[in-house]
Amino acid sequence: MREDLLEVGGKELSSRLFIGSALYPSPKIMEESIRASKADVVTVSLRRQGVNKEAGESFWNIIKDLGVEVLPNTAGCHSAKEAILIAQMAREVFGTNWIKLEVIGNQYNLQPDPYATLEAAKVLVEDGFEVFPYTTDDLVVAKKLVDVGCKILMPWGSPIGSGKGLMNPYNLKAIRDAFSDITLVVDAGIGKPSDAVMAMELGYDAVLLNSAVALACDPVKMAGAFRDAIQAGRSGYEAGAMKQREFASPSTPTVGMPFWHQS
Amino acid sequence: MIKVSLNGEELVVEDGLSLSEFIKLYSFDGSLGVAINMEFISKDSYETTLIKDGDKIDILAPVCGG
Repeated sequence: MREDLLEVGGKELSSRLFIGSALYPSPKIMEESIRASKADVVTVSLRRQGVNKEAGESFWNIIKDLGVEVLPNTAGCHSAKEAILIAQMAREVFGTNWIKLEVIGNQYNLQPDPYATLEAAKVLVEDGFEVFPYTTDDLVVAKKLVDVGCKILMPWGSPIGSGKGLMNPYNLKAIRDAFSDITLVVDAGIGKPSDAVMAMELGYDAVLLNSAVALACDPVKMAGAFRDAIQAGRSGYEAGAMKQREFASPSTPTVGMPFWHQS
Repeated sequence: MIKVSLNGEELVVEDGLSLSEFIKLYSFDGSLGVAINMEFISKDSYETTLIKDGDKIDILAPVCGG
């Protein structure tokens, strides 16, 4: 069978699951979960080096040993300037021009700030970054991000860490329909494997999640569940679902039905 | 002596230190990213960058992220 590869930012990926590296009960469970997920892309971040200088290096060594593509994020940034600076530092530290651009505009729901995201995206694309912008499901914002050169868009399913799944499938589908050539990744809000299936059935190219696996009762098992769900959703999308009907239609043949009008 | 801030904490350090000397002095090691006064400093500039009075130095390291 032909392998269903996803081409992103100059790389060919065999998995359509991007997974986060945060919130796991332990580094060992993180590592086992990432392996079980079969994800090719793992998100990482940068923070001020604290007293425990070995901890950061030990974490980074685990990720390097996994042999995955790293996708550094600008999580926690509240301005374009901060996000651009973190992206520049991440490019050197992690040795990649990929950046998950995240500029938060509201502390309550961690909604991305579309204006600052757009401003930073423009600068970073011009500086040679492959920008993965975390955005809302707003079609107009999506168009403006594409206009400044983003080849990937990552609209939210619902707020980060909420586990509420896809709050607005209509908007997500509108973005898919509008940008057939853009790589689309549902990022944030995924709670259950069925949420990931739905994202893939909408024609999204990949799903990025973290809390759904890391905060599950059994993260390693849940990582495998998401791996399978994403494959199932992708196959379902490629196979093409039947049209919904407003009426029932028997699947078993009616011709040759025995006891017709006898009872 | 000059006053600088390192990762948000005030410090008094010797005048005339280069960034690479400063990093060694505070035992920073491994994969690091540095910004001074919110400007990125690339690794190849550590030797030639001098720490000045009032500098706000941020030294970042890899952590987990979503």
